[in-house]
Amino acid sequence: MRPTGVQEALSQVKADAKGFGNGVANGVHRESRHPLIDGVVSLEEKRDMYGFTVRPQHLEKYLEHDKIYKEEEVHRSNRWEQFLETYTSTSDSRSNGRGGGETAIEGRGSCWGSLRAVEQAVLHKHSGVGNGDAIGMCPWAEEVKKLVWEGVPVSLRGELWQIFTGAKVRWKDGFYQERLARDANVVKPFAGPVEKPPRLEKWASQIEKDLPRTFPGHPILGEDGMGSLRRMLTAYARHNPIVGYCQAMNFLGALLLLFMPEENAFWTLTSIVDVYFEGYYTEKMTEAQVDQLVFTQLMRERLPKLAKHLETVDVEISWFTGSWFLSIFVNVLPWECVLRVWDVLLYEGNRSMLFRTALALLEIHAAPLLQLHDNGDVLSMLQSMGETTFDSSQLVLSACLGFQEIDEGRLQKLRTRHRPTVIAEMHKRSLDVRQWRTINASSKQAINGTTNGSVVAPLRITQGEETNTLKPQSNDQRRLINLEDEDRSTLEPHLNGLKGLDIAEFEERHTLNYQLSAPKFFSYEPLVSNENHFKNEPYGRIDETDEFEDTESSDQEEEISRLRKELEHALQAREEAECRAEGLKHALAEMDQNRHSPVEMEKLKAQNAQLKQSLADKHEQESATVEVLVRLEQENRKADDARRRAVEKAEENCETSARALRRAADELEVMKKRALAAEIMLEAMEKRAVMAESMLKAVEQQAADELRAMEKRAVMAESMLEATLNFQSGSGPRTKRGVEPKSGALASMDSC
Amino acid sequence: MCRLRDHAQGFRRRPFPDLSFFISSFRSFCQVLLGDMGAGKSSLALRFVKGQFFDYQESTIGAAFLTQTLAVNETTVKFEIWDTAGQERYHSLAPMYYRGAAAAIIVYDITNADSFGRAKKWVQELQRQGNPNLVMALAGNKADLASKKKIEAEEGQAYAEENGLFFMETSAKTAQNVNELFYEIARKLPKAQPAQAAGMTLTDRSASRLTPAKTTCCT
Ligand SMILES: Nc1nc2c(ncn2[C@@H]2O[C@H](COP(=O)(O)OP(=O)(O)OP(=O)(O)O)[C@@H](O)[C@H]2O)c(=O)[nH]1
Ligand SMILES: [Mg+2]
Repeated sequence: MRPTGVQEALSQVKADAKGFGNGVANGVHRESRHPLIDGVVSLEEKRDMYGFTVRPQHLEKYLEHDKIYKEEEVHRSNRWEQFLETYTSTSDSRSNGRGGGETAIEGRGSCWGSLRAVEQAVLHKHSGVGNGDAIGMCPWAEEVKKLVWEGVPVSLRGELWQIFTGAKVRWKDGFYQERLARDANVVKPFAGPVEKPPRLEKWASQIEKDLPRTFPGHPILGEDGMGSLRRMLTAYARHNPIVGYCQAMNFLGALLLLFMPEENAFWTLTSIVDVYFEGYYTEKMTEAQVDQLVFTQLMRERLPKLAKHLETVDVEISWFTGSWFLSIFVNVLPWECVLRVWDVLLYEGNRSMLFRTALALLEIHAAPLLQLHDNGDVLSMLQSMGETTFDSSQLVLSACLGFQEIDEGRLQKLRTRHRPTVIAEMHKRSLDVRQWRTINASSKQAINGTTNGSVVAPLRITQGEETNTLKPQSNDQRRLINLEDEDRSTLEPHLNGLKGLDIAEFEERHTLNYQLSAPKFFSYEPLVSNENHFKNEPYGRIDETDEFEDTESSDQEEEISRLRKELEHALQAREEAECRAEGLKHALAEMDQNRHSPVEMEKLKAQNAQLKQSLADKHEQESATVEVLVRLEQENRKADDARRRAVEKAEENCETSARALRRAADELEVMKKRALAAEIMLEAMEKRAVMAESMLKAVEQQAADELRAMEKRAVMAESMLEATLNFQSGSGPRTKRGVEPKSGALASMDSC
Repeated sequence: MCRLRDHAQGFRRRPFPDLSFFISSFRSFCQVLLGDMGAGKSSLALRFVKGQFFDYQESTIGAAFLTQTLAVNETTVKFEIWDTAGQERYHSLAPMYYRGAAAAIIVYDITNADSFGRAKKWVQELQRQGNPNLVMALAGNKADLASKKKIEAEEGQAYAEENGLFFMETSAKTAQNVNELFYEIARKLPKAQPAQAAGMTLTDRSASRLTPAKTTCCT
């Protein structure tokens, strides 16, 4: 049951006392050993224990952590050994269904035999059964998980990664060699359409370019290592032509080669790219883009403060996480961290660990990031912070514990939600490309003076500078392009879905549709209709629009997403069909050359024609779908515009009333001030009045005093007069006194 | 991403202990390196920023961000550089890096005719964006490998002139014309903060509506 390659690898490992698998390249034993074990790497070379260069600026920090790494390594080796010893008997008794050949690894002792305990735990987890029964089946699954979180010992890493990824389950004897044999120009009997992939030469040259640019100078990637990597990547490209070769795979493949023999690394890589990262490294990189939208959302949820901060400094996290995810943190984090992240990621059977690691990494560096307010400074820090994150346990444990609930289920839901956005965006872009191309072609044609255009439709140029005419291609021409245009996917990888769609025609029809179906709310002209209730209600119209939107747009949205899904399926089918057609073409050519059986050739030709036909049908279907989709989108957009306008108007309204309020408040303020002034004046006047009063009183008092004094004087004068009179007359009769008092008084007064 | 900032904004956005305050004029701008895989984008950036060169420069996955601050004509200029991945399929990620850029350097390898073809496609793509303020440069790199030359300087020059780019043959290995290239871009940049591309179409807006997460950086 176990493939011989693995057995070979295992016996190789067995031969190595330390248990690290040296690379086996087609039976050629490689001399290079793991630097950690052989002590090949000295720190003067500034290489870490895995043989990778340490940047000089981080060397000090690395040395600090190096001790911790070594301690942790010892600790986890003990933990794993203990675990494996404990569960050896249990798992052996349970896995009685396995072939006896497996016991060939008894040379490893209990340790290796019992790796099946881990295998079982992984199988249990991947089978997705989470009920009590399953736990009963594999009681140590939880323990394995904890062990993996703590890290896999270097000596077991290669073997365990193969178990985690199911590389052994996928293993097919001879498959790898067969893929490689084609290299030797052996004309093999035609096996299947997909297996003769198109554009192989392009991959070959791309792989060749990247080989020396993959961990340059690493002791394990010498001539032999590069040879292994070349074969691995080539075999993969032939195995899955839809992916072919994508930059990043060189790093993934090379990393695997450090821990396992070539063929094992091939199967592990195949698992990773085909299963863990399906749709990631393809020509369109759709899933890589979807994951960015998903991550952005998760970051807003889980690190809202940081997300907000990045927004204010105009930084999008996907500028960085895109690279992080595609390289699975290789060259982003220090090696110890990369390997620890890989341990968990591969163990889990999906790529959800990417999200948790990225969140943990950002969380760790959130505080200093929040201190930076310059866009460039934030970008620089995001670029460099990964390589300074030496604390692997902190990173992995805060990822696994802190963001535990971000699991594959949750991610799948989010991906489904965001995928249509990405697909629509790609189609829009290809539409733009197509539009541009057509315009360019037609202007060239106009210059050349060719006049063989049959249908001429006006089309506005993107820049809106000039109006041009263009000539749609005939259907045949278009189909021809589809099959023959080798050039097509160079800059416009997403063009495919729209090749069959004629833009001029589309635009024309689209405009027509729009005129017919666009609700009146969207028109900018004043309404002349009998909807007179809008009269004198400048914003009433917009409110209507909102209502319209609410009821209608959800339906539209639904339809859009349905159509998008349809489109997606159609595209997928198309891609496959194309691939098959391409393969058939090659086969045909080959057979033509070799004058092989004409019957088969006829059959193939027929098949090819059939495929072409179905392809053409697909195109038509697609273009129709795209048309509807784009129209709906446009309508949606118009509605959006209207809504936005409404909001703007409302805002304006608010603004006006706010202004009025402000004015009123100002006036109030003025009046208040005036009142205050009046009050003050009143007070002053009161004060003055009081003062006047007291002055009056004083005057009165004075007057009274004067009067009194005068009276006194008068009395005095009288008495003086009397005395004088008495004195003058001495004995004069008293009766005369009243006759001349005046003169007497006056005299007394004068004398005074 | 990074945007062309005017003087005042540059100050406002700097963190507090900032020496640029004493410099009479400070600008920072964002540029993007585009071109085929192996054309030498990373090598040019590394030569300009760190003065280093490696015979085997690791392939770029996604993109990398670098900065360099230099004095150009009495102005201190901070070059903020996005070095992108060259493989064709990575093209779908490129717009998020060039969207906010004030300048673009399109690099080809003079020993590789395909890379020249690809450079032309990049020029077309950028022209399609319709940003009249974008400064574009065409760099024919690996000029030190004259014996393996496939694309003559005249050809590059002619194409550049035709399309309103400026052209230089460079070598990241010998540092020939590397600083000159970046300086020339700094000189060509419009002095005032440019108004954003007028050529934004309705369809462009619909795209940004569809991808709310990918907000444009230069609005
Ligand atoms: N002789 C010579 N070699 C160069 C020069 N520039 C770059 N190279 C080499 O060309 C190879 C590719 O250079 P990179 O800078 O990695 O190219 P790139 O454009 O960044 O490539 P990708 O990251 O794959 O897109 C490296 O091995 C460099 O050493 C040059 O001016 N002269
Ligand atoms: Mg690069």
